Amino acid sequence: MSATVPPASAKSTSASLPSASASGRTGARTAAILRLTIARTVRPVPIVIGAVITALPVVFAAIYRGTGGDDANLAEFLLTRYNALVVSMLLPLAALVTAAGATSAEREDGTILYLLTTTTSRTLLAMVRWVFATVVTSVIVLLAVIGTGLVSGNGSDPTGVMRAFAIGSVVGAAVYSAVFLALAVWLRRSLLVGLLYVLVWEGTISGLVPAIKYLSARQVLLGITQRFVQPAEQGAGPFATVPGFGTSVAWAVAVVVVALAATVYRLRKLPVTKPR
Amino acid sequence: MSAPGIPVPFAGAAGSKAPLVFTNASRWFGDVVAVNDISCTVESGITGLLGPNGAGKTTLLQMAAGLLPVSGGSVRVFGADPFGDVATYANVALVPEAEAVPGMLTPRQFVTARAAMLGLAQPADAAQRALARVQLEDSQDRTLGGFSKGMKQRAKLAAALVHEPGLVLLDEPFNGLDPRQRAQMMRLLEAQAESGTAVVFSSHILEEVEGIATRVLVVVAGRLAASGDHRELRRLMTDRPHTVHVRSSDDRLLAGALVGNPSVLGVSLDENRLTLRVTDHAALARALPAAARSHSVSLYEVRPADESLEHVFAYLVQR
Repeated sequence: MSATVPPASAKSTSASLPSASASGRTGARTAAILRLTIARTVRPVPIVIGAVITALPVVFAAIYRGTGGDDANLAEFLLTRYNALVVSMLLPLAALVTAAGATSAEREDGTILYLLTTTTSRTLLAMVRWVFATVVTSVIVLLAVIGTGLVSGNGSDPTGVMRAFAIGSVVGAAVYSAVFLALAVWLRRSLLVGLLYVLVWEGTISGLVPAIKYLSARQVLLGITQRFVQPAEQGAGPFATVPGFGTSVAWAVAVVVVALAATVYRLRKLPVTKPR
Repeated sequence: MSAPGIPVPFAGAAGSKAPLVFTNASRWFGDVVAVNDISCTVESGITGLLGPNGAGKTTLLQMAAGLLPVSGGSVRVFGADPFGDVATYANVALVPEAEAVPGMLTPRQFVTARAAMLGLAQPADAAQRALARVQLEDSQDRTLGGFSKGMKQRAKLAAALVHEPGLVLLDEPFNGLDPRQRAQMMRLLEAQAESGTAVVFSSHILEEVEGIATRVLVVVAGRLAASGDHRELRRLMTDRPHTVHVRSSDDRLLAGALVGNPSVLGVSLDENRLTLRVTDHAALARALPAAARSHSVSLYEVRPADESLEHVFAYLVQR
């Protein structure tokens, strides 16, 4: 059927309408996205848990120094602690919370609608959320890496392991953030899926089955880290199953690009409520 | 399908710059048809989208807001396809039914962030004006988490109106509001419409729609069942066959006396009551006591049977 009704008053076309615009003012838009992201992410519980996990390797380092650990075994100590506490736990968890936390919560309660029904491009929204997560995760992880390295190395980095993991961790922050942001826009239970990926896939399967080493963000970031440690440490311990440096860099770049593209694509047609 | 009510010229989508035009718009989710071949044009003023729960009102509003693509037909907002184009939101706002707002922010932060993301030149000033319009200035620095439902509803409205869009879509804006808040919301929408905005709101309550809508679209089971002026719609809804149950001292005698009355379409006798089908309540209201008096029958109970909104909707769909 068809129906139309006469206008009640004059204003009916976009000509007389407001100053909202679809382009420009990128700075103000970025600041607004950041404000909404921070409001959702910086909450008491994640901060306390994050602080504890960040401090854990530093505490181990202090115990190492305090119980007579010396520079001879320093490289092995750092490789073990960095691998177990930073790369396997702190890094992916920090990236999960900072990259997926805000978007996941906004999708859960439907308030993402207030971000999507604006003239801000979905690309800017995705990029700001990714850069935010990468920077915050990097800062947290660098605190743990540098704190642990300096405490255990008595103020210096004689083995070069600290520098290598600092580089690898920043790359890892970028890769994990892109992947978890994509999860948050594609899946309803992104935090749970992200956690399972970290614990089950990376924690056990990708270490046991060398063939799938390329499908693990951790293996890729360790492949980059390996390039910066001394030859004596390469190919063993955490580096036993990692891909080569060139392959790792290519994978890291490819994963970030694909994950961000998938995020933008999904944000363009994100369902805001479940169909009834 | 054909519309009951006033005959209206069809405004095609082509070249139309009307705030909102649906042309044979359909939307299905798998096997479920949520919106079925709806065509209508919304101009400025207040339009009520009336229908029972699950009728497809939310789907229609989401398609209008560019959040859902149509499965068939088209939607045009100020002449453009709203889906997947962020430029749409320069002139359109949707106030969702969901109560949720970012609870950790103050209304000022929330509305200012929206203003900035809409590319407004002075986001803080625009937010201030929008909060003043919904009378939240006094609470603008408290966090939204502690707000009552009515205050959250107003904060949502301020966030939607901050860029003074030409089309505002509201999904069940009166849900859960107390009578005072409801009246306040109605005044806000009326003020908005007076400033030239096209306001479309959905509701499943006839009285809400009658209260402020200058025209009404009735949606039932995904179809446009009726449309037009609210008085026209009220007439449609009242000038239909009604069923009235009567209990009296002698149902059979009363039935005999009434069956010849022109307003009575039919009578049936059950064990303990008389059921009348009538065209006109007012005529029956005169005929029934007269018949009872002249036959010395005592009336115990006179009760209309089908006044629920669902019956009204069902009747409109059958037409």
